[in-house]
Amino acid sequence: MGLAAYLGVAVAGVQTARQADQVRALYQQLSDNRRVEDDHLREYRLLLLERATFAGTQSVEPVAAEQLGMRFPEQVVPVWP
Amino acid sequence: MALSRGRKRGRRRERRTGPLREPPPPAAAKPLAAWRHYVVLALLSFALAGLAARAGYLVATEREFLQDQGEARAVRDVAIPVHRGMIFDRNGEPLAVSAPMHYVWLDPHLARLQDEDFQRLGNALGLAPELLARRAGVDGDVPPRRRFAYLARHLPPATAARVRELDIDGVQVARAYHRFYPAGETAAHVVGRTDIDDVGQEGIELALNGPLTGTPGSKRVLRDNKGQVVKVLEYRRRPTEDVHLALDLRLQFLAYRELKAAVEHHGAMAGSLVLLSVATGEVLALANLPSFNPNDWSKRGVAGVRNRAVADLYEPGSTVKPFTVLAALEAGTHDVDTVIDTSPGYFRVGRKTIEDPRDRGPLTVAQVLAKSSQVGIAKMALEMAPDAVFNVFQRAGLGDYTGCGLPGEAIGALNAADLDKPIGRAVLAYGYGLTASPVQLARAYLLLANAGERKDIAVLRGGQEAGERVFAAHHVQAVTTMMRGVLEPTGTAPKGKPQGYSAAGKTGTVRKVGAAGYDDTAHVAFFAGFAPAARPRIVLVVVINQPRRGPIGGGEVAAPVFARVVERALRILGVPPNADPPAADAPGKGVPA
Repeated sequence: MGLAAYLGVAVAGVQTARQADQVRALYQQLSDNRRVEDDHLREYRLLLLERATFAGTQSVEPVAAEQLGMRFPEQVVPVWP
Repeated sequence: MALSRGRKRGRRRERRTGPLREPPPPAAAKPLAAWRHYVVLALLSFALAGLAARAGYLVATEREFLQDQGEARAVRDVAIPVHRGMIFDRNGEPLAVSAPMHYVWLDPHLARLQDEDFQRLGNALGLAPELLARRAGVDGDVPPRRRFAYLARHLPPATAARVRELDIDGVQVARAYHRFYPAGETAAHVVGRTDIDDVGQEGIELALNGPLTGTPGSKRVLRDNKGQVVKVLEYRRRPTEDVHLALDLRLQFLAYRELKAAVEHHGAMAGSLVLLSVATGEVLALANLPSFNPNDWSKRGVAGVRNRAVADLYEPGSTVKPFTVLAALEAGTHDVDTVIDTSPGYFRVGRKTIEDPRDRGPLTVAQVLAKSSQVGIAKMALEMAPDAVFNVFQRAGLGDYTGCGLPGEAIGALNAADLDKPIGRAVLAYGYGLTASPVQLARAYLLLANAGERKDIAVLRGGQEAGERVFAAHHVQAVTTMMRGVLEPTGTAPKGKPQGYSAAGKTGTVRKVGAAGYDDTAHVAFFAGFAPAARPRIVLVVVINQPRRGPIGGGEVAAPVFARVVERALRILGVPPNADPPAADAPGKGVPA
């Protein structure tokens, strides 16, 4: 009976240590993932900014008008159903 | 024989090693004194009891101190970086984005930089070495207790990398976030800006600073002796929120461009434009001139920062005449075809003369509105109950807070103090004696466009679908029909008619108040309206403040902006043209754009 209790305590101790180690490893993994997420978010913001800078109406329209010579049609022909 | 041989061997052994000795008989074992066990046991018990007592004493008397000491060695607070939330337009286009930048700092008391170090830093940062030396406190500018000094802020990654490569002892490079506004000055008054510390100062950045900033994050962790995190004890972080505005960047750009062109063309002092969605009351565009570039705060001007569409108050002039007509229809004193004699083009009310530009003779109520007759409107107002016009203005929200959510909103003024005097009622009827902001005027016209249902103005996406009925629909429909006449060739604003779409609106031209009363040389030009007239989708208010070149009237200055913005905005929104189809004998006749 005593031996069984001793073994039980020993096994529980080992399991506790193992679990603690696992928690620490998982926490580390979580921290790494959060760091990666932050990096991706940063990159996303930069790309968003780049797209908005180059593809925004305020950028496209001057380029269309000045470099490509595009202009609003002088006559619009509505097509009636 | 064997025995003798054995004895011989024994003797030989004895000769070599000496005679064998028998082991001594075991000494009589002394019995261990029992008291020694008890002494050791007692000592151990005393020691344990002493430790327990000491532990108990410490727990009882110095618990907090010891806990603090323990935590100071094993518990650490780790900062969690948060970046300010983004601001988007209604279609997901970014209007404000925080991107990582870097800053260079040092501890003025620890870093011992030499001239050569400042020279190298200056080359890397593109700054004068003297400036860096001053920022580092070399000349004693830094207060003695200061342990932190910026050398440079908002550096791009490449510059930060160059500074790191210098590897100057005591000079640190750290990361921070900087706010960028891709739409620049186009949407500056709605989006606003933050200061160098990322705190909102204007517009939505200020109004929603809390959700955009979130709570600076931190986590409390338990570390082992190697500094590794063993456990997270507490996690404090309120994530930042992204904000989605009702603004449509395409319409905003269009509105800003047209307003800017008009302000420059007429040499005006300022201009404002408010574009609302009729269905939801959302602000689709809001532009002001002059504006400012939130990306380059160094070139700011005080005049450019003010959000004039919500902060400036004007006497709205003739733009309130549709509401006076509405009051007359409600009161039952007039209907659409009632004729009012405006001859000889002026009439006296007390000591004041109210006059039209010329004698227009007898006019129907619809013509009074289309031609914007002061005499006609004043005569109508004087036939109504003294507070009839005032009540309609009040229900329309003129001179009342809109609660649109933009900072700095001015309330305006609409008071009943002069209603007992005929002149007070007469001038109120054509838009003097009260003040309203462009956004208040837009809300009032939103009411007309919604056939008498009031909706709140919303700067954030997701407006109010259902409104509250304020005016009878048939009265509003009648007024709307009359307002279409304003854009006809006989009205005051034929230039405000959008090609391909029907519209209803009203011009306004008011004199500004100067130091010596009304100034006949300074005017504000208005046009307020909605389109398409039959089933309105957008409400637009244009205000051009003090045009100084060419015409000064709302029909000449503000109405063309209305026409251009409405035409293009309705196309962008996918609204099919609703003007009358061409005659059968002229199929496909082009409509000038």
